[in-house]
Amino acid sequence: MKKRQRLLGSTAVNIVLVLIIIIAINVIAASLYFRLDITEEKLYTLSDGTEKIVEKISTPVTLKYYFTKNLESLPLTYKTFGRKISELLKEYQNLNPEMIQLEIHDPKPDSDEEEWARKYGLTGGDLGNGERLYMGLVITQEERELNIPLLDPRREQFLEYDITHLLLQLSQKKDKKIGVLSSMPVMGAMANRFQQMQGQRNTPKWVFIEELEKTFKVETVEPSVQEVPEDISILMVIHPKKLSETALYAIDQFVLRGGELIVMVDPNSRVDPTAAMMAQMGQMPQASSNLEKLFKQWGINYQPNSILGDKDHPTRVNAGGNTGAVSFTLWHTLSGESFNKELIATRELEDMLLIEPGGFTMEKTSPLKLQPLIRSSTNTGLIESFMMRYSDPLTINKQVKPTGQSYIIAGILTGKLTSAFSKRPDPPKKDDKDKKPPQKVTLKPHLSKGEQDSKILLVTDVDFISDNFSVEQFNLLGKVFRQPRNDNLNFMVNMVEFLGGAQEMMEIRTRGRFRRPFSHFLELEKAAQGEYQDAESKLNAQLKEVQAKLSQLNVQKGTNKIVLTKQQIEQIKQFREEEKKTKSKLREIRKLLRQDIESAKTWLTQVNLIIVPVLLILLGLAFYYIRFRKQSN
Amino acid sequence: MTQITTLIKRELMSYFFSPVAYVFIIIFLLSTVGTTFFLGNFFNSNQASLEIFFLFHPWLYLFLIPAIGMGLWAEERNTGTIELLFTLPISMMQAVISKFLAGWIFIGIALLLTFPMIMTVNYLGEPDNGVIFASYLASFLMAGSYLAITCVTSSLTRNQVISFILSVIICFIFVLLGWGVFTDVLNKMFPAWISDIISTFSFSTHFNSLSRGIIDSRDLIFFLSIIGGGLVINALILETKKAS
Repeated sequence: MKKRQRLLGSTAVNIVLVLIIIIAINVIAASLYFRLDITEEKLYTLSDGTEKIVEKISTPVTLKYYFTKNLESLPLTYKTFGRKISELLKEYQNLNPEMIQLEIHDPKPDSDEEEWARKYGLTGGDLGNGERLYMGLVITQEERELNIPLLDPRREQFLEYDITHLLLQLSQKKDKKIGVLSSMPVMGAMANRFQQMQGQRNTPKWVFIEELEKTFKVETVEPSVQEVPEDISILMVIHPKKLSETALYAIDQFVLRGGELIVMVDPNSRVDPTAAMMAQMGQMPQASSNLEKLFKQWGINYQPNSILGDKDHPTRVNAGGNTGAVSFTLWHTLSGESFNKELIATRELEDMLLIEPGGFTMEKTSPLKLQPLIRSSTNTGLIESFMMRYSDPLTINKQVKPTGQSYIIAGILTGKLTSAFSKRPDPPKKDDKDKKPPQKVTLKPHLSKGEQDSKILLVTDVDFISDNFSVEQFNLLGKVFRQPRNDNLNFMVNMVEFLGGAQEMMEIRTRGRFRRPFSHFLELEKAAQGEYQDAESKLNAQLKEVQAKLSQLNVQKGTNKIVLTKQQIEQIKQFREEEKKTKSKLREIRKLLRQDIESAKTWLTQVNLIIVPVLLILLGLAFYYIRFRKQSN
Repeated sequence: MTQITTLIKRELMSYFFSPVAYVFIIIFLLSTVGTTFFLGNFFNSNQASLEIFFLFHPWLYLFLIPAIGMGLWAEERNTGTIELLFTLPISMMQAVISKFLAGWIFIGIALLLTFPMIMTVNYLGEPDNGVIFASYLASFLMAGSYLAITCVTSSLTRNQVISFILSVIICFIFVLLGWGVFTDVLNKMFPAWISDIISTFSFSTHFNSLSRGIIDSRDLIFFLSIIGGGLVINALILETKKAS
């Protein structure tokens, strides 16, 4: 008996020892560990761009992340996203553990941490039932501090970009400056009295400017300027209309001195407010822009009133009325092949939408070398812009007659230029009413040719970068968020950053997604919509006709108190029948739209549930059969 | 080594020659696939990923694996075949390892038979197959941990039902330790660093971490240490029983 007790005792001790060893192993493992990221897009590993920026940090930085992860009513998407943020932040710390400190806080209501969160400007969001969600980041370096008050789950693919950006801004002492010379209110505008009378409010800055402001300082440059300010590294000339000789000279000299120029022209801008106003007042709207004198000098062949139609890249638009949906060739939906695959900035671009762009080609005698960024197909033709006012999309499409020539819609031009001017033009005559004495400004001497290579980015569309065509806005927890609809914003910001030398940021921008939708279903939907939308819009139009006729007859009946003839009663009956038939046809179509998808779901579920079990049963029976034969033998 | 392989083969064959294996695998498949499509609203999620599929594994394993493992040792002791086993020229550790590996491989086969899910999700969209691989690995390791615990409880008693219940309880505790609601309770009872350590001993924590797609040595070591420790304890208990 004693022997047994001793054995039991020693076994018990051994078991306890084993448990202690297990605990010890795990505790040790917590400090010495390695990781291997096998996700396809290396979602949890930071990109090279971030590595470069983080390695350059020379003064200690603290990342403070405030996340109410234990909130009861926290929706699952926020919980998962919040967790991903803290994991990503840990990766940052791992990159440079000496310089980066990470603090993760859970600001419970009425706690000290909540007070701190508010002090840092992290407002959080109201979840509607009295609970307050905090998911914000503050980074501090010595006395400087920057924050992202509320991280947005819909900006998931930009998470690394936003965080690295913040770090970059913190450590940068001087930002590069962009000057914007634009005939359109891209920098935002106060509504003038005329517009205010019409009930229009101030227009906010365009989203792409806001994005650029994250890496650069952006300033307006007046078209009356005689010389582009010295501290401006990049000049953006947007939709230039009949610029004065002085302004053209300023641009010319800016480029010769090595400044980087971005020119955006458009043969027909839909977003142009002045043109819209003129159209409203019955005048001939001036919606096109050009830099004629300079383009000629630079060897750029551009027709300011010609819109490019591309039969290989149309966009489905609603032409309204009886026509329904049309594949409009003047609105280009680009695909991967439209972009230059050799440049990092454009390699990953897939899906851009251009609105009535122009196209340019280079003269053989041009001193500039062209690096195309966006090239049209060869199935293109140019259309005069005035046609837009008088014809409908279908007719316009027919007018596009391809000549086999492809056009460049965006490109980078480099080379040594000569001035388009022989000397500085005389300044414009000042108004006599101007009481202020003329300012004494020392202007630079005239440059007749460039000392270094000039760099010009030319894009022949402006509408694509307006908010209407590049982003979707929505409200979330009381704040307005914007999500890009396509790659338009990406393209623009990438190109500017590429020119501005913030190349590291560009590498991060085109990073992967955490979300992967059922593309098969999306394709089915698209295909179905294509087929059925046409039928649906025709039926809708028919329905409206019938209903209009019905109401006509009814009105007659009501007002004049005329007794209806037998014929009219018959007619009403007929129309009601037609209305019923059309309505049921519409219902059929709506069902068909979903049918393909629903049936796919059903058979997929069945296959998954049934196939392997059935195979197994067969296998089992086979085994049994073998066994029985063996036994009976 | 060859003794272990022969033992494993023998065990596996006995699985497949009895209806138990087929019943188990079919129930396993129906429950994992069924929970994904019906409970998990797979199609509504519009996510080409098997996250929902794997979400239920810790809970399904809670019942499925003790069901497989409960008889591993209990039955042998019941029917007396355990005596036969001990007469073989193998060490206790070898016997324990073989039984465990046979069971683990069997569960692995069941997991592999869910391959239609992989095909489905690749057909519907473009999932991250690296993440899917990591999730399968995580599920397999976690299943091994469940099995190791069940082996221990199975060797403690001749009664399969008791073994099953004990195993479910212990595994349940392990899962619970990482479960959100429970960690809150822990947070209130203990200071943060203690409750953090306790949470790291949960199946859910390491399973979730590994199935994100990052092969982290801490997760691997956790599962392997549970398996290793379980097997050693299993052998110790059997030694005691053998002596009596």
